Amino acid sequence: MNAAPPEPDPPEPDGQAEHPASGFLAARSARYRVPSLGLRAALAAVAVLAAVTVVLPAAIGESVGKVLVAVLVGVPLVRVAWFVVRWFRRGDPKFAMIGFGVLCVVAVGALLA
Amino acid sequence: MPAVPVLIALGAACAGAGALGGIGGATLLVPVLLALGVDPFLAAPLGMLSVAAGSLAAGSRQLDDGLVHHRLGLSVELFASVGTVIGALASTRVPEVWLARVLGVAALVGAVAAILRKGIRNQPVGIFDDEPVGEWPGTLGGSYVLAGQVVPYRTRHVPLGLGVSVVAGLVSGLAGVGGGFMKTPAMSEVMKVPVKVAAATTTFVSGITAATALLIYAGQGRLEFRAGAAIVVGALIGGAGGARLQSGLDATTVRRITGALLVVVAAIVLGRSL
Repeated sequence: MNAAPPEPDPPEPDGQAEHPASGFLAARSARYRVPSLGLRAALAAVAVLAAVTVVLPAAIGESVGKVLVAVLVGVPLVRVAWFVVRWFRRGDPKFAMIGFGVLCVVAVGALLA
Repeated sequence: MPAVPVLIALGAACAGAGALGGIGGATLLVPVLLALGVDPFLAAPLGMLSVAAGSLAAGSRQLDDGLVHHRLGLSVELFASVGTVIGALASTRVPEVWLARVLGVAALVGAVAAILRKGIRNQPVGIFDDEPVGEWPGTLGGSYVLAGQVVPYRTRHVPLGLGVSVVAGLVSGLAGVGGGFMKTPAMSEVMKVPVKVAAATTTFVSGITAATALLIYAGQGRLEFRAGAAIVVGALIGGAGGARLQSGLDATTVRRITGALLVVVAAIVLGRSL
């Protein structure tokens, strides 16, 4: 009795096998969806604010420029605060305290100025 | 202060070259502004705005790629930000000539770092292919994906690396540069973190450094908003262009060209301050 020939392997997408790491990258991307979207939104806001500051007359432009600087200063600090909260909640207090320490140093610097 | 179109062009050119060379745009921008006759007290905040814009522009992509080690970055930044605060507060009391000299020396150090930076140290390890990619909770180790393979790494010589970070922060606060040209080598060469992870982590922490310094500069009344916005526009355009070009060019060659540019800039700045 002749055995049936084996079925050929199904073709991989685009002719390449998907690497296991790609799944973990996708999972990571999903984990950081909130800060990633926030950073994209902030970037768009900064681009618009900077362009408006340059185009508008000096008096109005300066007010918009202050908002621009506030966004540029605030975004990295909010990002740090997001990680501090996340690490405290997930049982990584050592690094949460380090992040909190960074925020404290920034605050002290601003107060001293 | 140069006209707005000139500032946009400068911001774009320096951010583009900085992104290509991986040394940060402000390292080029601030010395160039000084060479054009801009007051160092105004040039430093412009540099920091460029750094902040560059960090924000790269943030989302680097977060998705899993390259940033936030725990390492914040550990480094805890020490660097102390240096930044001291440097930014002291910068109003340091004579302009000395600020220019600090910048010139910083540009030279950046040139050496750009020229001497090494390639890949950590290699892929097959058994890590099934492990999660990114930083490992509770540690300063992690893994990242290089050419479709998982590369694990761990951090070494932490105290020395943190010491270098304080110096980098001090220079950042004094001179208005991001300090990436010192922090990235500190992480990659001293702490033995892969260059790609070190560069991405530096970009993240440079945003915090910039925020710290900008708060202090604002308190000192040193921010020129219109000029700053022009630099930000240029930095966003140049940073995006540089990042796209980077993938199609030989990074080592570009880093050497950038290093040579920095040597020229340092020579001009130091020459004017002598």
